[in-house]
Amino acid sequence: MMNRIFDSLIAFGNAHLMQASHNKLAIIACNSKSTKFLYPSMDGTSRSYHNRPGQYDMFAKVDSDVRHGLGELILNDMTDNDSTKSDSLLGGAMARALSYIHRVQRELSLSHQLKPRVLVVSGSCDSALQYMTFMNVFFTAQKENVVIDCCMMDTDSGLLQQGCDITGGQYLHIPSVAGLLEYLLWVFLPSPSCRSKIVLPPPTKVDYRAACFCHHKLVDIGWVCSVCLSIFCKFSIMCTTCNTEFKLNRPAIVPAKSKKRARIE
Amino acid sequence: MALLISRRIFRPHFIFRKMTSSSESILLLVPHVKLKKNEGELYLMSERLGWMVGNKDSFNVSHKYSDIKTQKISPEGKPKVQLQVCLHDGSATTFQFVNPSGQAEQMADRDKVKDLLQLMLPKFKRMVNKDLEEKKLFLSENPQYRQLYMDLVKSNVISAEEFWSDYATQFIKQQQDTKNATQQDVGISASFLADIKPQTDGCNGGVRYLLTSDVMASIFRTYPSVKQKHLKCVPNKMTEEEFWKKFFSSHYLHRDKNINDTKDLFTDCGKQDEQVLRQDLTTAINDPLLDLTALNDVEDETSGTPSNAKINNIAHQNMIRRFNQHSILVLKASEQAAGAEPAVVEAAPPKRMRLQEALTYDDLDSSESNPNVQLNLCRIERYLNGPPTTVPSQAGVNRNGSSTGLAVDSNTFKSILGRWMRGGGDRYNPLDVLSSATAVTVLGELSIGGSLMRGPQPNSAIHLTSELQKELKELYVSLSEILKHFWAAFPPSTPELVQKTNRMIDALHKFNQAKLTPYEQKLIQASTSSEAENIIRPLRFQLQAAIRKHSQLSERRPLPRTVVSSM
Repeated sequence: MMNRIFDSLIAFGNAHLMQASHNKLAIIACNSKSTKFLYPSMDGTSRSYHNRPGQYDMFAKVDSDVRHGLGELILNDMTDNDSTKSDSLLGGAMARALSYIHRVQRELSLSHQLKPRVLVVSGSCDSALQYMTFMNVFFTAQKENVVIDCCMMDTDSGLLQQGCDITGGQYLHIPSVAGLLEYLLWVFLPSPSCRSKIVLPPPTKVDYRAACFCHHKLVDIGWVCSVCLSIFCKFSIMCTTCNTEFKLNRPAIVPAKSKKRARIE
Repeated sequence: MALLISRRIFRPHFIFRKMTSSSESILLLVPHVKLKKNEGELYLMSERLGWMVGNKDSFNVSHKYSDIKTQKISPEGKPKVQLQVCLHDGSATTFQFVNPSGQAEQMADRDKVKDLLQLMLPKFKRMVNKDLEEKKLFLSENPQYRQLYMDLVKSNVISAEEFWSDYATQFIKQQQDTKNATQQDVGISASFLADIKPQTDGCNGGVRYLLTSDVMASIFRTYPSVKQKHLKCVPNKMTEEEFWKKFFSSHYLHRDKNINDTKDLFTDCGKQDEQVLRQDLTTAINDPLLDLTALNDVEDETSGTPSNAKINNIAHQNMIRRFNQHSILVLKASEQAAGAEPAVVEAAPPKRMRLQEALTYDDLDSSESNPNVQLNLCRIERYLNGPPTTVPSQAGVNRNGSSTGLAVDSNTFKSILGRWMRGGGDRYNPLDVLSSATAVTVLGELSIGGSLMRGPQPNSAIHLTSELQKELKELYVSLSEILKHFWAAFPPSTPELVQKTNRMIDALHKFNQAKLTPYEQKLIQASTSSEAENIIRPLRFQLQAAIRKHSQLSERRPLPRTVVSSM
């Protein structure tokens, strides 16, 4: 299964390169300890690769680079036992991707501008600690006109849904991993400009609600501290994050009727 | 015979008594007045005028003075002597004076009537409601307000006072703008001399000039020395006509004037002007930053300072002189218009202020920096990490391992991985990656109607025509207006506000019936019913929210208590 996933990804990358000669590709992998550029490989060693007869050289290079890089990444990681306890560094990987896009765009002349996009293929859930990183990445992508797509394999990720929504990308949650390549080719291969002409899975309703700081439950309408902007679900006199005191002028409810009743009785 | 005479004498008395009984006094009675070929008498009373055929009791035709807009009389030479009375609603009545004693008498009659009417009419002139006119103008100028007015006030959803009380501020502002715009004095048109249009008199080659008092006033303002001459000479030494003849023929007016020609009356005007100009250069214009002598066309090439080099061409000199005089008059006029008294004492500070004004730009100055307050946080990780997501982090990590089971131990895993790493190239089999059956299944899921394609499509098939779009916009605007009035009356603490909320709810119901439902029908005809529902949904949502809130409140409001006397 794992092989299939990796092969699908390589095939998808090559398919993208095949679309047009000026298309560029970069593949980044991340685990809980590091992120690594698989292609273009940053090693500097030129590896010999055997291409099949009639295969385009670039495809063979992509293939061999990814296999080698990914294998190294996983094997290095296996030696360390407690690496499975922390989250995958997806935020960092996306940030590196954005910087790479920025660099490539600067190197190109003005007449060959890219229309960059990022595809995130992931099977892990949201990481609570990386919330700010994700948000920074999404807003930067929005500013740079980078479209973020997401293909989720096992679980749903609320943060990535929000990111796709903000940048105008496609979010897909795959029911079965066996057909991963087909999903990728069908939904994510077309560029964003021609997606308006194609019938694609409709966007899901994104849950933008934030969780309150005290009980961690999602709130639609709540109380916000005006100093540190922390969210609470019910009113309290002091903000627990920054210790500011709140005063609230509530209209005095005069119990007039009870007074009258008391008098009659 | 005697009986006849007595009857005739009696009749006016009889009528007079009748008029006094109805408490109207006759101001003028004109017999022998025809209306539509019937002869009768015309009566002018204190509040109305009336006409009646000789032997009747009541007026055939009567018009109140307040209804009469104007009166017109037929011109002098016509055989018929008539007077026409025009009413406000456009109709007109024509009276013809047929005094048998002759046309002069008829005209005398008519003039009497005309004079009296001229006296009476202005008293009763109906004040056309100026306010109403202005409101009509305002509505005609702003089509969006007119549309709102039509929708809401015409259908009695909101009363007119409420409408104007909301938009009165803009309306009043508009009125004030127009008033402020008319405060400047009107100046002289620059081409007034050219407009005088000399007409060549055919016989002896002279020219005729038509002078009105406006033209003369303009000439006096442009050439102040001519004004002084005029005061001196007319009417003592010469008549107006001669003065103006001399003026126009003098070289003073024409461009090629020659100061040295002493025969002309106006030569010393030129000298006077010159003197006044020199004086004005130094004293009249009170602007410290303006240096009139610094302007010079000709610059000396050897030195940087402008020199007063003699211009040799007399014609150029004259022209420049005239331009200078004109310009200095303009400057003086602008100083007067500002209403500033030339105060020499204050010359220095204004200069500094003006220099300062010219140097600094308020916009570009940095705004006041906010005093920085330290943000004291006791739980910093909350601030840095933001609101927590609901999914706790521990459960997520091992998920991808769980589907395949953690049964794979590390050595097997390493061998599998190693094999994969070497797998590219000749050993690659595409069908390992994606079998055709799987691909077809996925295609099925992704096609229209498949499991992944459920949900509203962003590019729906509905295309609204421009009329439907316009109607939708108008619906939104009117609904927002009604809702604004409704929510503005919250919380309903006084009975008037409660009344208002009730009225607004009725208005909303009416709006729903009268406007929304037909529009929805139209939409359904244009496309499918589900799409129509989607488009109408926001409007209905707002409506429902308001209705719900109102019903909540009316439930909570206490019912009027009945006093029960306990015995």
